[in-house]
Amino acid sequence: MSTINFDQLIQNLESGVQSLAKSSFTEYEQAAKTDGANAIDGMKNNLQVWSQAVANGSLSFEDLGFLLKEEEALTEMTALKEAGLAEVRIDEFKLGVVNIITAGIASAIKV
Amino acid sequence: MSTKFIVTLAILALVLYSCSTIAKFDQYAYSQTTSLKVDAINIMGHASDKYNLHAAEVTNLQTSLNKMYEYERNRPKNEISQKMWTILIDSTGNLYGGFIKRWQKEGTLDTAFIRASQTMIGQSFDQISQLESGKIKPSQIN
Repeated sequence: MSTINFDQLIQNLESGVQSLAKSSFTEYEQAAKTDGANAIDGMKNNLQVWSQAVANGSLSFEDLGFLLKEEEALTEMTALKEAGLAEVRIDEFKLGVVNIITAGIASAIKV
Repeated sequence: MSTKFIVTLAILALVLYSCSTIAKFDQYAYSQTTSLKVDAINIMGHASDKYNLHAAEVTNLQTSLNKMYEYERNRPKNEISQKMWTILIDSTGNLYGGFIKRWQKEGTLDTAFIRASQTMIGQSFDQISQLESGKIKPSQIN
């Protein structure tokens, strides 16, 4: 076995982990923002449609009250999904670090 | 020194590999969620009829939903999905469970209300399946 270049190995690990963190979390942040914006748009549209439906009598006030609470519950479901997906990103990041470490060790040990 | 460093890195990799934060993707959970969504939306579509006419179908679907809840509850590191199912089927809440409770109580529901509820309850099922499909798949693990 020849000598291992530790400086090179550490440098490779550092740059690999940095770029992995940047790509993983930037992508997630964008997806979460889009999800949030879609939820707000959906709420605005629903409020408009439901108000009109109450005005023309096709929805009662009780219906409207229930739908508003449904909307609130849906928002909670979306938030939980985002929290879950954030945990998935953490696991993906860990797996990425494992891959970087194993690849780094393999390339540093030149048989 | 060199061997110690390599061993330390290998142990670190092993520790990172073994401690996951959330459950991995489960094909059964994903398929069941999408299938139960279709059944729930179909049954809700009958809510302009008298509840008693569809009570048996509602009970059958409730059994399937309860089985799914139990499946999710027993998967390790699956607290978030379990919580989402709890909110969805809770009869004191305002998603599927609450909708059925209201149908039972009122006998029939208005068409406009049913349509709006179908959309939101459908989206709630989607949140569960989107989380499941976002989880790490076995093929992603080397």
